[in-house]
This record gives sequence, structure tokens and C-alpha cells, in this order.
Amino acid sequence: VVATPPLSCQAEVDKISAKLNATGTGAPKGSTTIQCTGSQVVAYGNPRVIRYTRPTSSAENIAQGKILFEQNCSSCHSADATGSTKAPALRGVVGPGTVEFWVDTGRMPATNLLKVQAQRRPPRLNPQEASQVAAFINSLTPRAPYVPTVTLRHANLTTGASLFALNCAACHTITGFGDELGFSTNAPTLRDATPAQIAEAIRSGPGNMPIFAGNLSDGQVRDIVAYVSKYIQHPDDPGGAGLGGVGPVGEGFVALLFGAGGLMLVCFWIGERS
Amino acid sequence: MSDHTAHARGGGHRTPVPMPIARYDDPHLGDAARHPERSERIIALILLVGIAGVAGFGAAYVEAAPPIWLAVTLGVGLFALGFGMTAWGKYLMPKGPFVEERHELASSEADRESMAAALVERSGVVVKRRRLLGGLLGGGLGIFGIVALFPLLRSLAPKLPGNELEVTDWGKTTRLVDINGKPVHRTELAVGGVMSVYPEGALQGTTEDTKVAVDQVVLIRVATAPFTTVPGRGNWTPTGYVAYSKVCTHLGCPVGLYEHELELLVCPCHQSMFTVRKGAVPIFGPAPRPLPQLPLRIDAEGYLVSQAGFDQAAGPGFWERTTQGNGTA
Repeated sequence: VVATPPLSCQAEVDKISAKLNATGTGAPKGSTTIQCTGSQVVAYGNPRVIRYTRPTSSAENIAQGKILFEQNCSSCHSADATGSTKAPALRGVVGPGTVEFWVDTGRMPATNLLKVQAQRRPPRLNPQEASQVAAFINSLTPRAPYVPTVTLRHANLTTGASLFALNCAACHTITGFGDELGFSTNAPTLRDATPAQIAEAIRSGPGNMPIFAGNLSDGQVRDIVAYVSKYIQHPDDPGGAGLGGVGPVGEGFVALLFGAGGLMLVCFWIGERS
Repeated sequence: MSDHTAHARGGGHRTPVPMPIARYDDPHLGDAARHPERSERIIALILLVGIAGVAGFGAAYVEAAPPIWLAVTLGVGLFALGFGMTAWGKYLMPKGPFVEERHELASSEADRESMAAALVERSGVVVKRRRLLGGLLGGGLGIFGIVALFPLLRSLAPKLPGNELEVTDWGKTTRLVDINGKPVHRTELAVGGVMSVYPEGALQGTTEDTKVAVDQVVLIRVATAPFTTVPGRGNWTPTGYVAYSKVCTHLGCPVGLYEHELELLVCPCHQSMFTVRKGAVPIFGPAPRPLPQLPLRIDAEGYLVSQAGFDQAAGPGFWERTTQGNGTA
């Protein structure tokens, strides 16, 4: 379903840069630095904002990734990653960033194929193994997005907050707690996501999440990642207990049960005493 | 506070009746009220705490202190004032029950009967003798009664909406712009991407322009090639871009939740779901109509523009809304 063509080198690099800089607003001019080895892109992006890197493509890394893929993934995605009736094709469809997102968040390998949506859980493969699987998939048909490394130092939290409200809060809610959506799907909570995972999700659109490619620059993605990892995951809660940020229903429940209920007990006590 | 002997108030021309309270030898008073000095001091202290609390709240508000200080000062202040008031009532006031006799409100039977007889007899004579004046007075009061209903009717609609509910700022060849007013290029969204767009110029309008709310449109890239959402809308989706009104046809919430594998738009308020590929027909939830679709094309510079405005009123239904364009065609 994704339109981005596979990478080869400079021509494809130009396509990526054009897409990343298409928005103009917030995209640092001439920021896209590219490294090529032979006919393959190794990295792109701006090291001061987000740098997208290909996983190490040494022969043993890819061989190890192939073994891991056969052990953990091939029964559904098929041995050559072209998919089956049980799971979609990966070859030429997903990039290393997408693979690392699904494996690092524990959503893949899936536990229950009958579930509409895989849920976050402790990952079965460690980060190095995830990177090896990504290297193997990338060796079949190279493709963006690569694995992002986000530098949060110059991030603007205010911009991040307004971009979050505009693009993310509709589904993930303004507190990042997440919400139920249609047909047994849900927008998961953002409390546990690492900066790299947030950037991977924005750029690759896992599952039913929309893909944000040209309409968010790397600088804007960086600001959103900073807002989520610095504020959403560590809220100020100026009123005291945040109650998990689940929203007005939960807060109303607490106010009615404990607030109004407590007042009723006080009234009862006063009535008894007089 | 020390003078506890009160005198009956009012009733100058009637026999003054002293109220049976507020004497130290009143049998209704408790021990604390009979010797009130200590209780008074404690209650005064509590009330002073209350005064300090609410004054502190004022100071905290003026100084824009952190919310925790606003909460603590107001909480302590109101609690102390209330506690002081309750203690005053409990320890210093006499305790009931008290029974006070009240004189009859009604006049005597004979007075009432003679008044009714006089009214019926005399008014009948008066109106019969002055038919014209009686009719005019009655008519005037009747018209006044109707006019008095006007504010009630006006309160139902501050002003007649005219065609405001039917039109938006979208017109022929209006550029789609993002929240910052930047036009949307055809390369902007990947397949599976979504963004909110507005008609160019509407966002720069005055703040009184409330139409921006109904102008908002959700732009989705569903495919790489044009497709047909509903027969007759074949050329509305250039390079797979499709645009629908973001205002739910149920109660007007922003329908911004896009699920790109299911190709569904979900309304956050009541979970209405709209099929993006099939003309935003509601398949679940209370929404009664499809979201109006904005016909798109790509201009010479590669930016997305509208071919025309909506072919129907956007947003929730209203009394005079026509059924045109309800997606039943």
C-alpha cells in the first residue's frame, strides 16, 4: 500500500530528500546529508535533527538476520518475505525503520493471529537481533524509512505541542493515553515509546496509523518526539494526581465517588452529631 | 457580640412580642453559649484563619502563583469560614425545636364573599355600559401578550441564519492550505497520509468569521491513481487524493481519526465510522449522512485546488436542510 519506491542511490536519494523537504516549513535548508556505498544509501537526514541510518549490512549480520527471520517470522510472512494469507509482504514494502519498530515494541512476532491488532509487550528479540532482521529485509529490496536517531537538543516543545494537538491527539488523545478506534483497533498509549520508536511510527505509519511523510519535516518530527518524550511521558500534573490522563470520564468518576461521596459522609456525620 | 439581649424588630403598629431567645437564662442555650467567652475566641480564631485563607487566595491569584497555592489557600479559607459558621450555629445559638404561631393569611369568610359579589356585579355593569372601551382594552392586552412572547421566540435564534448554514468559504478553484496557510503540493502526502486543510484566505480573515470551523476539510491520500468514490464523482480524486468535510453530520465534531488500513474515518465523539473509499458513507454510529466530498483537481503548479464548493450543506442537519446530495444517488 505504500508508494515509496525502493532505494538504489543518488536518483533515489534525491527522491527521499525531495519528499522530506517537500513541506518547506521547518525543514532545515540543505540539511539532507547522504552517504553512499557502492549503489546503496547508508544514511540520510541531518545529524543535528534526525539521522536515518541503514542497519549494518555486513555479510554475517545479514546471514544472522536471515536465520532469525526464518525462526521467528517466516511461518507467516514466508521465507522470502513476500507474505502469505496470514501476514502481509515485507519485501519492498517496509524499510528497516518499520521492521525495528514492530520488533522492538514486541508487537512482532505476533502472539495471537486472531487479534486484529498486535499489542505492545516485552520484545522477544533483543535490539541487536532486531537490527539483524532489519538488515536482512533491507538486503532483499532496499527501501526507506531507515532507522531514525533523533537529536532532541534544539527541539521546540511549544511547536511540538501544537503539532501533536494537530496531528496526533485526535487518536492518541491530548494526554497521549490512547483510545479505542473502529473494529477492535486502538491507538496505543505513548507512555512507553522511545524517541526512535516515535519517529519510526510517524514516518512509517504502523498498522492503521497514517503515514506522515511530506507534510511533516524532520524538524517538526523532532519537535513532536521531544514533546512526547519530555512532556507526555513526564507530565507536570499541576492539579496533583493526573489519574493517568484517561480523560473526563475517569476524572468525573473520581470526583463524584470520592469528592461528592466524601461530602455526603461529612453531611451524614454532622446530621448524626446535632 | 457581647450584647445578647435582643429586642423584637418591626411591627411598629402592632403589639410588640419579644422573641423568646438570646438571654443568658434561656433554657435552650447550651453550656458553651451561657459562658461564651472561650467559644467566641476559638470561633473568631477560626474565622480569622478563613479570612487569611481567602485573602491569600486573592494574593496568589494576583501574583499568578502555581495552581497548588490557589487550591490550598482557597480550600483552607472556605473550609475555615464554613467551619466557623457551623461552630457558631452549633455552640452559641439556642437549640430548638421552636414553635411560632402565625396569624391567618386569609380574610374572614364574610369579607371574601362580599368582595366577590361586588366584583362580579359591578364589573359586569361597567363592561356592558362601555363595550367599545372594554373591547379596546381587551384587544390591547391581548396584543401585548403576543408581543411579550417575541423575546422568547428571539431567544430561540439570535438572528435568522439566512444561507450561512448552506455555504462555506470553498468555491471554484480555491487552493487547499494547511493550518499555517501553506498550499498543499501533490507530493505532500504519502499513500496512507492524512492532514487537515482549509480554504486559502479563510484563516487570515477576521476572528469574527466563524465559517472557518465549517470550512475544515480532512485530506487523505488513499491511492496513487484517481478512483471513484460515488458514481458521478469520477474526477474528484486526482492522484488518489480525496477530501471530505471534517465536520461530522451528526453533531459537528471534527472527524479527524483516520485508520489507513481499514480506510475508515472515525468520529471521536460518538464513534461514527465513514468509508473513505466509498464516499464517506456512515457504516456505524449515529451519523445520519455521508460527509460531503470536496471535488479536487491539481493546478498547473502542482498544488491541490477545489473544483467547486461542497454540493450540499456541510455539518450537522438543521430544520430546512434539503436532502440534496445525501449520497443516495
